[in-house]
Amino acid sequence: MKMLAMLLSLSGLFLFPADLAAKVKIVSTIPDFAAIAREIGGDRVDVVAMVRPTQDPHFLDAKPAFVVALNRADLLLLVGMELEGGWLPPLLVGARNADIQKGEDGYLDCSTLIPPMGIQSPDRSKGDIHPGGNPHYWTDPRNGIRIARGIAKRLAAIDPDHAEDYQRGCDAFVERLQARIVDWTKRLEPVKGTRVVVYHKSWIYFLDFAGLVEAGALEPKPGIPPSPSHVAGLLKVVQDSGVKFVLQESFYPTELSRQFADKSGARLLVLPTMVGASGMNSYIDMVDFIVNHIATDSEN
Amino acid sequence: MRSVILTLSAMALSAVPLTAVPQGLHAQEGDLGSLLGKEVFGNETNPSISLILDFVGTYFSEADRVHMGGHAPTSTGLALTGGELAASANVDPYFRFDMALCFAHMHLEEMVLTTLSLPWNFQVRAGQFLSRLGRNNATHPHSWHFVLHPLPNQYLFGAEGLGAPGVEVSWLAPLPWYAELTAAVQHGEGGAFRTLPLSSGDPSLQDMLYPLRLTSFFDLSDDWALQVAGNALLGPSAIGPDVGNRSYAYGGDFFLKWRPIGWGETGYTFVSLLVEGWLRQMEVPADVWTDAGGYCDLVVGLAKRWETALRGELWRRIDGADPDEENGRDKFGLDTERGSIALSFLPSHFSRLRLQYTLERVEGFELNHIGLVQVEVSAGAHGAHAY
Repeated sequence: MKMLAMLLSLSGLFLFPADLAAKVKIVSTIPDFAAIAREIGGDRVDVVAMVRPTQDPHFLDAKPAFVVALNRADLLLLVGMELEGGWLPPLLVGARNADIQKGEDGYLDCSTLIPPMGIQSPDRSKGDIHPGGNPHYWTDPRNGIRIARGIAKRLAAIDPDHAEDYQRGCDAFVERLQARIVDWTKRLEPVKGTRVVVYHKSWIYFLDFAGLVEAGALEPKPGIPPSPSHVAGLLKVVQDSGVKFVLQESFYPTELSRQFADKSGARLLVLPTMVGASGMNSYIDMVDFIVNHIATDSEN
Repeated sequence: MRSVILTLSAMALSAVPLTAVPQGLHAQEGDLGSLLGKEVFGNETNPSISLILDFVGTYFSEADRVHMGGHAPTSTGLALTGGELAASANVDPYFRFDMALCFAHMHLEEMVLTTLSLPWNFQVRAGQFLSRLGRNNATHPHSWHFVLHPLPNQYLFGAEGLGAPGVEVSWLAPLPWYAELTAAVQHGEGGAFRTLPLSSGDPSLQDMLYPLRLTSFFDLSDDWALQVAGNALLGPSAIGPDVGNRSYAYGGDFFLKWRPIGWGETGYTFVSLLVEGWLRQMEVPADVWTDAGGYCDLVVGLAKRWETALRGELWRRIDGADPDEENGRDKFGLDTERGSIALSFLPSHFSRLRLQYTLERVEGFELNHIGLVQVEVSAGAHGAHAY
């Protein structure tokens, strides 16, 4: 038994060199929280994201490889509001890691850090409604600030020796983000009140930030793919009402959106909502990309 | 009574502003403190509960055919093949509780505690549970790609799959890739395995079932994944366990999945290939029956709402006496070839309509054409799917 314990310890040393072991290991469900955590923790954290930046976060294969990452994690960052409800629970059980179970310091449901929007009774006849509110909150940069502060606080609790470093990293990130929010607000000023149609109701937080108005959704109900009859009906409702954009993420099919855009005179914008897509490596770059596309395209 | 209703209505109305956040408020940061940190919007101390219904319309071309049981329809007509109540919750920081009760056949499929925080990557499950053997045995019908379970699995583990009271220990190896070793001790019966009932006296270690599984998973790329596993089941034979007859089953499963998730790819289209094969020896008085078989599934996700699947099944008697009325070997596996094609439409994440055609050839029976129409719905908590 002693021999076995020694072998296991040796394999641990082998697999986790000292410098890596000293880092706080963070697993984030989406790449956006991972990017913010990197800004805060710098070299003191080792961060991985489970969802690929071009992937629909509602539908992820619960790959056993994630169990390995979660098993070794000190901190789990998740979107919450049951966005990950279809795949995260069995991974958390399989992880055998008491530190990242719900209620522990290592479990941070970032939806607890933001003011939720789109709260409805989770009646499934209305579609795939998430209890607690609409979970697509990270595209609003004001929520980016709240998430960053929450992550810094949690990192300080997990690794108190470096609490000041995390606070410093957070302050620097928040300062840069706040400065950009001022820029973005100015850039978006001319498009305030512009009516847009979305594919999935994943834009309400960003629209609230940008002052855009959602005129309708191509999905008849959340999670139900658009049908030609619903799209035709929506076209009648919004025609001549000045809808300027159709917004959707890359992982939704574009055929009906394109037809809708063509017929309504709107412009289809397929935009990323997660860091890492379209070559963006930071949270600020991601929001910047969205703002620039909307502001620039509205000028044309 | 009326006053109670009025009081409750007033309480409900007064509660509305707490949860319904006006959009304009979102832009202000001042007074939101009371709205933040609300992880609990319902009563999360209650278990998550789901009700799952499977309703099947079936046509069999031959009335005389190999018996299918468990969740399979048994005759031409309409049948409630599954009516499951599933509940799960964390008990405390140390345990999780899961339960699946099948109303359609009034039996407890699973009621099991799982540890959450044992040291050295160990995990223990205790209670009534489906044994982790191959990729099919530990699953419930709503995660299947077909209406019917594979016949080789029925020959091996019984019509309901092997599920019995016991204790399971699993260990996640400290390796860069996923490697998990699972070993269990269970007391029960299924297929070629049967432990003596407790009424026959205190069971010894020899009387127990021992399922073993070693699983490795390789994330080959964002789009490709591979899982391979080796399995074994050792225990008393279903025939003559009291005289020391034993059964042994050894198997392997190979699962390869391609699911492109790059820019512009929906992630709803996928192709997966599963091959599961077994070799089984069953000791019976004065003979040893050796059989081999398995199944192969090719599943294609065509779009978010459409899926099609092909299955081939094969079972062969390799050694031992031919089946006859006296020895009863037919219950434990006949030479079988079966092919199926299924097409599923998912109106939402919580409902499914499925058509299946199966062509079945089993020795001693006429060629059987089987047509199935299935409706499957799930109400309640959002169930999570294991890989």
